[in-house]
Amino acid sequence: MIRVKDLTCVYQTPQGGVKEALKGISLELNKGEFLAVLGHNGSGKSTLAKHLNALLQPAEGSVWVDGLDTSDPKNIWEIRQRVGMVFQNPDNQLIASSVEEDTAFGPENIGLEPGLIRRRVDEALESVNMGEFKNRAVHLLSGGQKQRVAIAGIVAMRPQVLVLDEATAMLDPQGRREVMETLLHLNRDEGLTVVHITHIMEEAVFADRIVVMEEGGIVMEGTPKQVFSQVEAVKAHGLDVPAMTELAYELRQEGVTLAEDILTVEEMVAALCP
Amino acid sequence: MSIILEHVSYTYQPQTPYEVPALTDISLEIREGEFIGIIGHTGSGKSTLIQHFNGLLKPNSGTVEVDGLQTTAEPGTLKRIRQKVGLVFQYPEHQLFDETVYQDIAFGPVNLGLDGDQTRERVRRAMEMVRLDFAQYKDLSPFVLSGGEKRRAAIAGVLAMDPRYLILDEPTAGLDPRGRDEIMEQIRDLHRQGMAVVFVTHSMDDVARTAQRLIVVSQGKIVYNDVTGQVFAHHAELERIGLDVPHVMKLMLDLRAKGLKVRADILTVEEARREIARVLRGGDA
Repeated sequence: MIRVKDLTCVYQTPQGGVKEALKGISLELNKGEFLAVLGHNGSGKSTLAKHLNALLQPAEGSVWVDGLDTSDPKNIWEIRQRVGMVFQNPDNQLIASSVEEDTAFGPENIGLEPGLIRRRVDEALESVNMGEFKNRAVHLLSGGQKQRVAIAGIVAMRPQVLVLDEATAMLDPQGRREVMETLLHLNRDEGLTVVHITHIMEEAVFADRIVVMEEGGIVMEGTPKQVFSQVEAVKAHGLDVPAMTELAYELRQEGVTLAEDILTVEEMVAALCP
Repeated sequence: MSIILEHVSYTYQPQTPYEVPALTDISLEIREGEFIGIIGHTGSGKSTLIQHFNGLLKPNSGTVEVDGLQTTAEPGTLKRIRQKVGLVFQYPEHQLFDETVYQDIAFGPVNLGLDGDQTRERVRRAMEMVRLDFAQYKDLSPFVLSGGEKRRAAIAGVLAMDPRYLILDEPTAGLDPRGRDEIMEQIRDLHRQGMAVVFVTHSMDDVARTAQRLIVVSQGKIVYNDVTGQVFAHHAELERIGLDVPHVMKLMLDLRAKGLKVRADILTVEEARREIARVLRGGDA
């Protein structure tokens, strides 16, 4: 679906120096996959995300979306229709006054006929479970609701990939749950490919695959169980493991026989009380 | 010496069609040297509550007293209260504004009328408390710092006022795990040095690891105000009002339900490790 090959990104620091934000990254994103990207601040996650829909073009290396080269200006609009992005702050990405007007902004801009816009908007709001809020004012919504409207605005464009750059970071636990449920529904039931950048390890547990970034490179990759079972390596990269994985690790130090890939409370209960 | 709230009620835009009751009949005391967590659903009134601690908001009814000074007294008193009670807002880094880190942190002390040497000493100490190296950072623009460093610089601006009570609204929101651990460690440090700390959070794990006392706010009222472990013992009620319990506690409860005789009042991974190991080795409950 998206192929990243030897991608390098260089930018000027405010002090006048030069920094490599991405150092020759290669990554294949499969159709229908749910990929979580982890890494501490400054590791290059957001820079990578912005290359996925041609907000940034490669300094070196290349990115193809569905066979389209992101460094070719002719492809940009086509690429952005296929890869939608949601950012961190829910207050910075809604532009209209009501929920349905906001969701309709994209479809209107690509010149769809009104009947089709209506249908797309209704379906998109339904898919993020915001249908009954379509006439509400956006500024009166909760954070989680705003992020779901932002997602609906993208879904209405019928993209193939949804990229979320710390889209749950500013939300409360309730808002996080709502957004995660929405992402899992879009991925599993509607086949959308999802790239979720997050600092919350319990969210990454739901992904098909995790990529850990540090200093502009990919340092770990695998299923959640494969990645989190390497507790010391994950911590060395400035990250956490889910609480249950950490407890399993600690209990093994106490001599308790437990699998290394326990991620959730349910798995821990099953392991201790078989 | 303490912050004392008695029967505090607060309504936004009272006597208009938009009036919203935010706090109802709140009484509590924050004593010197305490370490308190405040949790509650978004919209529960947490932020409204902490803005009463330094007189940013004044109660519609009831009183707020800081070391014997009422927040509703004349303006001169308010200035003294705000020196005692430092308030760090959510995303405090959005309030950085000056050309250098030094000037930004010095803004408060300069406004207090301190002279150059005293100000410099205050800034140096505040930066030390948040572990920003004075020589290395003082002349940098605050806007070139990393997210975690910006937040620490902003907190230093409050610490430079030398408060007795430090109130923080979601100090770890939006930070990565390393940034979060650094900030929480520094807050624990400030508490060890004798400052009273009150922090609002959504992270049950932060609360479980640090707060000695926990205040739970729901619909503008205090539902619980007790030792942290005691509050989490009401897990069913907490879940009913939309709050989580720490993962570790959830595990302990599920294990008990399955017949493993572990204690339920366990909040952290470290305690759980000891407790589960003890029970598996056949220890008595």
